[in-house]
Amino acid sequence: MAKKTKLTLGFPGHFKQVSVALPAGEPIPWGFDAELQVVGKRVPRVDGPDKVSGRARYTFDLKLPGMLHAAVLRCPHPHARLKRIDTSKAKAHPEVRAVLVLEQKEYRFAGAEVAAVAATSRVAALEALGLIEVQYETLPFVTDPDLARRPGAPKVRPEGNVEESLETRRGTPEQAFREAAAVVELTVRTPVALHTCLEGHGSLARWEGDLLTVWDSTQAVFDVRDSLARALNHPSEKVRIIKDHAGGGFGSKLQMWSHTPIAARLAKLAGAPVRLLLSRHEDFLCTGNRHSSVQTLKLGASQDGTFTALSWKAYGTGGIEGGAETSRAADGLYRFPSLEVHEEDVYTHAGPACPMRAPGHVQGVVALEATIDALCEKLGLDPLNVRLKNEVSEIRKAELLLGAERIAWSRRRLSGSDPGTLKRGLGVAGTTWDGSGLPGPEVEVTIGAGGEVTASCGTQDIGTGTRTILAQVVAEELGLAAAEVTVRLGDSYFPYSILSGGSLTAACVTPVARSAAAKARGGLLRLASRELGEKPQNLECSGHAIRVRGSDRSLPWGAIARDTPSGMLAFRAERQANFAGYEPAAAGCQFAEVEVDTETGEVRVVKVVAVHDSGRILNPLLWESQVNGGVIQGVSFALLEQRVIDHRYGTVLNADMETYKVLGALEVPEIEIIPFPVAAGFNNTQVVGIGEPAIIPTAAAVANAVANALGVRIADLPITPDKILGALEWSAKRRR
Amino acid sequence: MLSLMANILGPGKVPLTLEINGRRAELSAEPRTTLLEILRDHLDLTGTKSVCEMGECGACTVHLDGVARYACLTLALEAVGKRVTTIEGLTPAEGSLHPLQQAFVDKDGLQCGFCTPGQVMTAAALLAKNPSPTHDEIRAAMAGNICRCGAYPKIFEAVAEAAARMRAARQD
Repeated sequence: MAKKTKLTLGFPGHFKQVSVALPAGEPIPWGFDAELQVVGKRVPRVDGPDKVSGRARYTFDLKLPGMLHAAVLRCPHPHARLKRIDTSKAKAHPEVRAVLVLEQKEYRFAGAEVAAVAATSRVAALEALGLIEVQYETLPFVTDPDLARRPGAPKVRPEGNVEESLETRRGTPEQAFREAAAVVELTVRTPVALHTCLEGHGSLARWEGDLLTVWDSTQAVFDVRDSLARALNHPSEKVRIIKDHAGGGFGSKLQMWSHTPIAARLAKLAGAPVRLLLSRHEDFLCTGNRHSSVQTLKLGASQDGTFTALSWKAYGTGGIEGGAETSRAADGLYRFPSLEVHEEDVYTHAGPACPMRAPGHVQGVVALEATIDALCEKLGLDPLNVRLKNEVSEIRKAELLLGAERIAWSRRRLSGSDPGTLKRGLGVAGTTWDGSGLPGPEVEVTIGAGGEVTASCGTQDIGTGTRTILAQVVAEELGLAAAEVTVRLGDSYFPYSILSGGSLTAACVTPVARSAAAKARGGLLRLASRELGEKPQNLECSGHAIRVRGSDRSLPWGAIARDTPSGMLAFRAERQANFAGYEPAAAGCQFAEVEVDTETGEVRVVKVVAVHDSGRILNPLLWESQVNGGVIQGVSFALLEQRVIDHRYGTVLNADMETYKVLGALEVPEIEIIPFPVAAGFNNTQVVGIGEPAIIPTAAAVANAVANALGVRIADLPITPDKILGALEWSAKRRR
Repeated sequence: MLSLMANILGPGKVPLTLEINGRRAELSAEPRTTLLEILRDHLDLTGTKSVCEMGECGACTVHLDGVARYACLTLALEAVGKRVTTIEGLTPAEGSLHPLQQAFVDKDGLQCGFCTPGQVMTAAALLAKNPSPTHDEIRAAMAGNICRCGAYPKIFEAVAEAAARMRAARQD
């Protein structure tokens, strides 16, 4: 039975009473001013000591007795058919234990799996790959999305290379553009980017009878379990996926990739555990990327900068995968009374895209915020004022004002007016992302015979601090310190949870952890009240014991647990549906200050001010780390990252960390983080995820700041020195 | 490229004696074997991570006679006669943390933690040489270690904090 409760949601100056129906048994949400002992504190991450000492074992570090090492032969051509394959020499290699040919009708990108071997050492496996004789029939290919769109281009899919992915329309765009005081149109291009998690993709597979256990570097143990069961036609209850620590994911480990069933099949063939760890090169070719985009935005506004219409036409390539959307940010940031969207996926003979931290949003916000700045230039209006005028979120309005003060927005010059060769510029961009959580995940809290508290959940900690915030929430409810709660996660034998992505984890698992811990407290009080002959309201729960108020009588939790047949108490809860939120999504904004060297074309991001709402901040120390990470990856995307394909050969030129550059210590800007706490509603801890919101606006703010510094816009990311020098030369010529 | 690979097992194994974390290790490995492979595959010292395998990311950083080196670009044979220190050997007692490791935990100088042993080893080599580094010196010293999670700001804080704690400890 749901019960009606009034919640105070919002933020200082903007609180409102909201009546919500709380599901039965749901703890009352912690209010904005709740006085909490553990939650909201700067608790160092509980697995920190293991990680800093090298004791933490990642999938790449695991070994099993008798384990074999696998390697994969990959098609070097972007499009080919297998004519002939001879594995006899590889099979005859003294150290080889199994060889697998991966029959496919066609290999559709350079890097597709052709065969795999398992041998007693990694070098022997690599050596055996060289002994496999293959003949390919090479087929016409296309890797350039602009060429792939043309009629007659080699087909990546029988249905054709272009697929309409999104088409929406509201209001009267044509009329609104006709009547607008100003209309701007801008085409923005963003490249394919690579996740570059430092622990790549890898699986270690072991069969015991028909029970298959796979240790996998994944963000989604249950999804990998189900995909693997399907791939092997094996019952999913006979598949167990374990992931203790993972060295990053950023979306590239949300799904099962082909190396996992390959490891499992080789292990079956060889009758021994098989470990298949992809090399950096393979990882960059085969396990996902951020899709590219070409976005043409047209924005109409009245003389005072009120937006009247937006047209968003875009296409992008995710290689052999679709999903190249960018326009989701058309809603949730600014009001566009009239809107038309047309998006297309373009298929090419290149490695598959997959979600990467705020998929589509990072690219889309770059284009949207750039177009808004172009409109401001045309109307001679201040970009901050125009944003405030069209803003949909009360939270972000307040954040924009706060951030503007901290970056000292009032010193922003007219674009291109900074004298001298080192030019400074300021830019701003917004973020919207719904990380308020989903129903379904379960947590079990157990009290052991020694009174020890364990929380188990099949979620994953990919470096965001899930272990730590779970320990904090359970500790808060039970009156303990975070270190007194053991958190077990990353195992499909634990209670169900969803994948760790979409900034959903904190808001999915901490509310249900709190529910389970509240059940545990209630259960302990109930059992103790019977044992002590006291009414529950006379009892309190603290310090691993149930105490009788105003007396020294108490009962340790361990004693209560020992008194049960199993010697252990277990309490399980399931995440219920979200209730009302103050606003539909988390709001944030970032301001960037850059310095551009007009002689070398180099951009230095001097400072980023990041103002973010994520509901209740469960742990400011770890939350700040998430924001830092988002900003740094965003700067990296703006200035450095791009996968380069030689379209003549259809192969990736920079599938390594020397030539695929990511931001390093010397390029990191000063980052000022301003938390903006909001009583967000949604769930009982009132947390909303911060992972994606933190990366969404960064590249857009940097690109706008560069345009402000130079007076010309580089609309083609990454903003590299060659493009800057080229744009400056072009604008100088135009002035002459 | 594959035909070149057909001989990667090399001319055969050679005996090799290394001093790793104060202990002698008698090994047998092909001359082409890197120090990183020896540590991870032969000795199961997996705190030293393998990421880029080309000297770009610093996840495999160890000390050779106290100097930070990329183990992926160091042949095991080059380490003969030198003191090799890995993350596992940074502290004398198992379970204890070096002031740098403690500062990384306290300041949250990590997220996924995969680059962290390398970051700590680079920082340890810096502080051994320069006990009072400036902010810019810390950034410059850490420039060879990539952190994809973007923990850099707190890594810099952690190194500065550890330096301050170590200086204070010496004055006691």
